[in-house]
Amino acid sequence: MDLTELKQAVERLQRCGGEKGRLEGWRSLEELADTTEFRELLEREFAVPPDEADNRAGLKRREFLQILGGTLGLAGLAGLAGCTVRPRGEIVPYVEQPESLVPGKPLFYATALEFGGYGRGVLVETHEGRPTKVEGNRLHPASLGATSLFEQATILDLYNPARSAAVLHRNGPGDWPAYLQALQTALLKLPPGGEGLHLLTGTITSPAFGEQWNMIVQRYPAARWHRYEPIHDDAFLEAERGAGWEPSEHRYHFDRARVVVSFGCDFLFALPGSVRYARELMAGRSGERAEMNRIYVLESVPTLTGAYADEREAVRTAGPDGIAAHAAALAAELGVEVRFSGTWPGGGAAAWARRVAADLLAERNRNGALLLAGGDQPPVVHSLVRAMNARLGSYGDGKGTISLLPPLVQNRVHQGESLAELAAAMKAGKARVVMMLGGDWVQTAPADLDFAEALEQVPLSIHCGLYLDKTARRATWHLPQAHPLEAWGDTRSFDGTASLCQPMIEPLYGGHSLHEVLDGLARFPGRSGYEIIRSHWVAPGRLDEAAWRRALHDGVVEGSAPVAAAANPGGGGQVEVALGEPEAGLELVLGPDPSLWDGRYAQNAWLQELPRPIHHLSWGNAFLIGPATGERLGLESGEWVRVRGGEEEVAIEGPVVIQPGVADGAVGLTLGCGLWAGSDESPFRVRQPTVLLNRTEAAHERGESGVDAYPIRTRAHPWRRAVVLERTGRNDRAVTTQHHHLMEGRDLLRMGTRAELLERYPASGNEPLPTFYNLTEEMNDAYAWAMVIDLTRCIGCNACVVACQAENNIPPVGRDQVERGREMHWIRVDTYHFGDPDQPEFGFQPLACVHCETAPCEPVCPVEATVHDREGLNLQVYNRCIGTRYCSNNCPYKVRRFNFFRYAEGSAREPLQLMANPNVTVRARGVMEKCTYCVQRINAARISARKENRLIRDGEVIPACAQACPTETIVFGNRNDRGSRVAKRKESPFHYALLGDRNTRPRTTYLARLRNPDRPPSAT
Amino acid sequence: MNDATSSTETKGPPPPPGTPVSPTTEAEPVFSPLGYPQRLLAPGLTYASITEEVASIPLRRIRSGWWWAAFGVAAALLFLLVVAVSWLFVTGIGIWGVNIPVAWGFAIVNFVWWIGIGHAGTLISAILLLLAQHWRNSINRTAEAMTIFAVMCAGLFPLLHLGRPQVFYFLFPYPDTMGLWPQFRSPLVWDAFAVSTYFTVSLLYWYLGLVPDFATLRDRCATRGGRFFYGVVSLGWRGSAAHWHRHQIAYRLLAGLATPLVLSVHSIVSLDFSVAILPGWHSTIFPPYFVAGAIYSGFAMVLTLLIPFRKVFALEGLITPRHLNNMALVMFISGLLVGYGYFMEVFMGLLSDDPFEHAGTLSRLWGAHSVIFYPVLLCNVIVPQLLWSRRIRMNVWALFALSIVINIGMWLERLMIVVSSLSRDFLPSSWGDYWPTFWDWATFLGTMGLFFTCFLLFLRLAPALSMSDVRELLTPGEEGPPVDEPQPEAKV
Repeated sequence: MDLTELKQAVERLQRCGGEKGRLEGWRSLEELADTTEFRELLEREFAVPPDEADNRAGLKRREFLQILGGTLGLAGLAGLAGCTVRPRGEIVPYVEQPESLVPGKPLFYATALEFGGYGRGVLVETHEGRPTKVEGNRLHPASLGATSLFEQATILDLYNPARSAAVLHRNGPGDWPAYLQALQTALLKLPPGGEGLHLLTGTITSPAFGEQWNMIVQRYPAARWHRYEPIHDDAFLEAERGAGWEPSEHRYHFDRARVVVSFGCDFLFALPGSVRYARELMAGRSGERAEMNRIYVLESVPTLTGAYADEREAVRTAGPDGIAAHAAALAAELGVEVRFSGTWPGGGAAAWARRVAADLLAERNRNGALLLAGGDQPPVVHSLVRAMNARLGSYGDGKGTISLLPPLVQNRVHQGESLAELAAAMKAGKARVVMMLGGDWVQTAPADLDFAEALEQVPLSIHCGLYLDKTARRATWHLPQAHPLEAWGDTRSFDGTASLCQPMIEPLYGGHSLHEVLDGLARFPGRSGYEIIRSHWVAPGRLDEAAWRRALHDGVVEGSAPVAAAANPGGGGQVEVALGEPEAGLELVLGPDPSLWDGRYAQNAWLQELPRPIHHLSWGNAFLIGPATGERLGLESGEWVRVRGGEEEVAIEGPVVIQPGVADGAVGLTLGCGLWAGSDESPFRVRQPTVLLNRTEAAHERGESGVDAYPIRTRAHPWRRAVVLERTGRNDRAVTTQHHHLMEGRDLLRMGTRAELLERYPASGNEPLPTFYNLTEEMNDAYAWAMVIDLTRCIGCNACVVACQAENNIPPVGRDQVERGREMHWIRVDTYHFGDPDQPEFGFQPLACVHCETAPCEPVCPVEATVHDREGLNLQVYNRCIGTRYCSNNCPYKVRRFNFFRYAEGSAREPLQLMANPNVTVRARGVMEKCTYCVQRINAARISARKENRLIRDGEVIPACAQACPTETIVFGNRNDRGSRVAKRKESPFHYALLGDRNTRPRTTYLARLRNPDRPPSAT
Repeated sequence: MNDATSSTETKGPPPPPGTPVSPTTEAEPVFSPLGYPQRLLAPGLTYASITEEVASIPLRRIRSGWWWAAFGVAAALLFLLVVAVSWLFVTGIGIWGVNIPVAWGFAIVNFVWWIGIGHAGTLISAILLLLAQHWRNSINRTAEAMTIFAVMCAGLFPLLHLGRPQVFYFLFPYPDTMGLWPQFRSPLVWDAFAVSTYFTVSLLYWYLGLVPDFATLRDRCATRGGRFFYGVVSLGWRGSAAHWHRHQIAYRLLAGLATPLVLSVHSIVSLDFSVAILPGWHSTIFPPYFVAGAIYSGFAMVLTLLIPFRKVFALEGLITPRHLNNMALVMFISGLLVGYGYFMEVFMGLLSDDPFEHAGTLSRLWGAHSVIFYPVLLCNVIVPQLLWSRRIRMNVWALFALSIVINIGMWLERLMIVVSSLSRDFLPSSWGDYWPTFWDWATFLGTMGLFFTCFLLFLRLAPALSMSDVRELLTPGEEGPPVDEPQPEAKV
């Protein structure tokens, strides 16, 4: 094939809009050229007997690389205009500038990212075709402009050098044509009904995916679709089935709630709608309103929701004082027919229930009750909660606190059973073709399913995923998955609103979307992702061309939310409760990791390093036990224990952390840590991990990346089980970024009820003390930038921390550096514990540089590398800094971060350098850095304001932390503008400056954390 | 010492000229009625014998295996320093244990410690000269050398601890094309000036004193190379009266210049801490307290060096128990001042209304930092109380041991001030601990290597005692040693 042919091929591609030949284009240059020789070749190739086809797997390394190079080259040729990475050949400026594309000005595209299968709308900032930052989409109901930490961290996943970049066949080199051929051959061999064809996915809400599956079912009626997410809600499904409820999904309305009672439900973090829910909850909690809602939470291990609650009870799950007992007692108080078999709820539960029932039934809280059960709670709790909600009139779309939506998930099954069914079919040898899309089930499947072993029995297993995880290693074929920002797709959000997902960039490491891979089952050749999504949506009765474009532009498909059921579903009559005897032993309580979820983000260095809320563990998890349990067992933080699940011999090892607020007898552990798929040796890892990842890999090999909880998680005990603890003798602290969680009687985080706060801080102590400096002269600009952080709103979710990291090119530093106390986060969320260590209260305090007007860092710098500007910003001049670190020593808030090593090294190299925000300097070794109030955003706003000859408007500058925050905790603006939100918040009686008595006059100030407990707080 | 009246009894027949100082210097010391040793020099010394004794050290082959052993260890440590600094420059200061919040660690501790040691030399040579304390004449040269080398070691640390040491010159006001200047409010800029001035003046002062002695060596040296070397460094000194006249004027002028520096340098070093707002640093007592500490540790180091030195080179006749006693007394008095400093810090901390100051003091008394506070107290306040006893002051071994204890104690004190204050400051959320790494220790021990290598070479290349100054102690016209100077104004 010569150059002219290649040129023709390219022309042909361009004529058909770059869309034709995306999937088939992966095979060879010849096909693109579409020569007669190639047609002959194609026919010949498919006449090849399977044996010979298998031989192709033994490609020589050179050939493998040639094919790989060819595929990558074609990916570039067939690319979307403006999205091409790493251009080959000369780079020339645009002769005709594309409209809307100005070099140096970012473009934002709307798309949606999935969390547990449900979409959250985002806008992706792209600089000359490189996605650099994810922001929330104001038009999307699950976002309202905010994001969670996962959306923020997606950008690192996209560029992650650890991503899978090549097709693997039996853990050796493979290629797409060979894969397609093997698939077609295997499909042809299936019985006519398609028995033996199995699909395994996580939760999928994508309507197009459902339609694709329907097409497959038409062709292979006996094909089965299995679904398994490690964080599932099977218990709810069991309750639903048991009581015969109409299948439904919950959409809560926290803005209508007056009293929220959560039975182990981490609704501020773990639900698909959590970002939205957190915002809604704040409608009833702002400091201006005297009437606040009240949140009761029962849980065994502290979660974000529990930490935020007004009334939190740390209780075990089972037994007469467990969560179920509390629920049953409350239900009985509320008049639900509860029949106890065996034990009755204990005295504590009964007293609690009386108190809460009185609150729920109070006149002021009429129609404002909202009770929730966590997905990890047993079915009986779901039944009780349903009955109580029904009794209290919580259901109903118009004014109730819960709407019941028709199921949004495409394949609504009992996930544990569904996976077990697949495993049984595999073991029995009935599963002929198993396609596993977007998950690592070898890792996450219940341990007693022996999923890995079952997988061995499958003649053709196909795995498509972002990383070379354990499933990828054991499947017959592994296919690299295109990242959600690289592929077309669609999804539904928690309330059913559909969104279209559009690619921002050509797949960096090759790969195809799950839609494209799935399409291989339905037809040959498969369609491109664009064709699949567009043919689903642009259809009569769905969208016309204009609506399609608008949906793409807005990020939501208008009017796609389903109509909620209006009626009250009723309580379902009597509920039988068997509480069981009090348990003496220890109970292991599993839950999702606040950073890594179920382990799917384990390859993301930002999320690994992110200090988990509450205990601030970084790079791993630990066994959390309460102080009372620790004392009883004689265990201290840092001691390693072996945890054995009763009857079997399986044991997991890890360090213990004494965490106030863990119920006595409970051992908390998160899923998703201790995995490091990349650590397996593979000769085919095309890209070397960065220096950072190497260091972390070494830590993983020493068992320091946390405890992998999956080996002890079985089908029967997905969430909790009785365990035995043994000391191992090893003593090795888990890494944490905050070692001390008590305030030591200092006035740092003001917390209390409205009356308490007004009494304790009458003048609120805001008046600055006298100073020798003439500040009015030094800072007399039209702008006086300031930030007010409303602690009442902060739920400690860490979205601000990751957002800041993404916006400001903050490098992760690796486990050993965090252990040394050198994490680089410009903003951190401090947590303090108050009161009784066994039933503590928690307070969160986000803290970044507070931009003191009389900044202690400035007079001590010998070279004037940190200075003030007239607008009140405390600036850091990187290229003047010589690194004496005196500024950090003199900073009472310790918010300055130092480049002890060349931390940014990894970010300055391919491919991570593409991720960098071009408007923020990448810092060199040996310089100090800190929060800048996102000065690049201030200056961008200044430019547009000056062009229009006006001042910057309030709300025009939003720092990354404030933008990501789901609850509008952080407000930034011009203090001199009397009408600005910042100025208004500063007038609050709860306004105060942290360490105000040092007279640092910080520009970032706080509003005290208002709480609304039913009883006076034990101590503050 | 008010004991001039008892001088007669030491007069005896003068030894023949050129007699080497013999172990007879161990002869029974003469005490004042108060029990203080009175001899400044051993009996039987002459101008010639003093010169011979001192000049023979650099001019003859080394007699002592101890010197070679010490030099070997010191050179090995110096090599360690070279390795540690090279690795530091290649990788960054992350190889040390510093972190956030403890952003200053061993480097600053060592800096303060070394610079404190550097204080004794100038104090002895300049202040005691101006106060006409003639007993200093036997020890000033060694002490000055110690100062120079200690300040060299100290000066390394502020440069090494920079995140970007390649741009250290930003600290100085040089004609920058962008018109940039140092930020003069920062104590680190004052430090740069204070330390460099101190080093320059100390070096000049030391060298000026050496010139006549270099000339002596030039005249006595047998080798051509030696004559050339000493000829160059003696700057054509001929010992004429005019030379001596000018030399004395210059010497006293420089002494006058150096005297305020003794007080200023460590005051300014202390301002590095007390200017900051950190509890445990922000304290007005720091300048005098640091100066006292500097003199304390400086004298301790002088004793640490002189006691083996006089033994190995058999200079007991020139550095007598009286010298040791005097130095022990100065050390003791400054130690009491340091103890007063500790007391006032705790007192003011407990008295303070400031919760952070209060918490910091309590943390030292019985909190997280008592592990370091009490060893400091033990080394610097409690054990040195032994110095009340004359017998301890007269006991060479006890003094040597004490000087080591005080050296360690003063180093721990700096560690306490720098690290413990940083590790527990305002917000408990940012509290963090500090653990030194191998490279921290390597750099510290490496500067010991640098110091001792320089010091041992100095002993071999230059007259370790000032021959001209010691000769002054002999009464003119008489070859017998005086018991004390007829200097009534020099009474202590």
